[in-house]
Amino acid sequence: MTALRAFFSMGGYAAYVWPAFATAAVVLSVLLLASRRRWRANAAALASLQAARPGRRGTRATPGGGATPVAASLAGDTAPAVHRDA
Amino acid sequence: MHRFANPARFLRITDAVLPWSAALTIVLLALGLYYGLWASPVDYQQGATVRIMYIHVPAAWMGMMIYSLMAIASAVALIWRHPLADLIAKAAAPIGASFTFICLVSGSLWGAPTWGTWWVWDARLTSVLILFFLYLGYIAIWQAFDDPTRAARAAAIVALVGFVNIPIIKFSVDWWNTLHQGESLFTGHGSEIDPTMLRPLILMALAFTAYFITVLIYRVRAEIIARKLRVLRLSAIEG
Repeated sequence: MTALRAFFSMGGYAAYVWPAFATAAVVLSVLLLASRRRWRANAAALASLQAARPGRRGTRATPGGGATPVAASLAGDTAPAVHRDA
Repeated sequence: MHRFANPARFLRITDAVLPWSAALTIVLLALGLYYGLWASPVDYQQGATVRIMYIHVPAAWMGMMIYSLMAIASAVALIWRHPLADLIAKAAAPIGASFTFICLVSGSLWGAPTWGTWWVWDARLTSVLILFFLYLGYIAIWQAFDDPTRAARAAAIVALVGFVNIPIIKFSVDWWNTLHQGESLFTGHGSEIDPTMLRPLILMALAFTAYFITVLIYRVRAEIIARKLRVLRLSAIEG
């Protein structure tokens, strides 16, 4: 118990040591989560865009036929994410 | 096709690296914090404030290392037009800015009890503050241009010009009078740090490096996809 109290008091320097570690923890956690969230959001947007326009690499039945659904999904961004971790 | 061949290889390689760098970050961080906060002695002069070193010094190294990497990537982008180099530099900047911020805050928290002041305008502290502003300026330039090609060029030039600051930071403690202590690890005649304190210092530096690799992979991937999205949306608009 005393060992634990001594640990948290940091020899009387708790007000300096813990904020230093806390700043690092908060900044690095926020950056990690934000970076991962943006990657997943972009991947989902790409997947929905490619799902809306399948003719890019595959068979193209009507020339330019893929333009309309892409424009629609761009306007509303309502197309569901197909592969979140693509 | 060369434009897409390289990113494809990047994605394949990083797929293999990502689980390892993420796992290494967790393991090294756990070890570094255990030794840094618990299983290492306090300094005979500074007491427990010496534990701030295990955040402050590795964060300073990362701030400088990431900037150097950014400058190299910017040079590669300018000279060889490598399609990934710009994105790597752009993706690295917020990580470097974060580490530099942590370095400044932890240094201030260390200075207050040991120097009796939160801040002095000496060469070391000022040059690190300039490093932080260089990062912010670099990030702002990317956002200031609509055309990503022009933004990349301008940002790369700023990154290269700002690189002169890195040796200034490194040697500032030798060139000018300062409250900041001098170099004690890479002295030319070996480390002056006790091994019990060197262990957590190195562990934390490695943990930060593994963290950097992990987050850099996330960020570069997001940039690669963002570029693809841009191309797809432009081609959709143009029909």
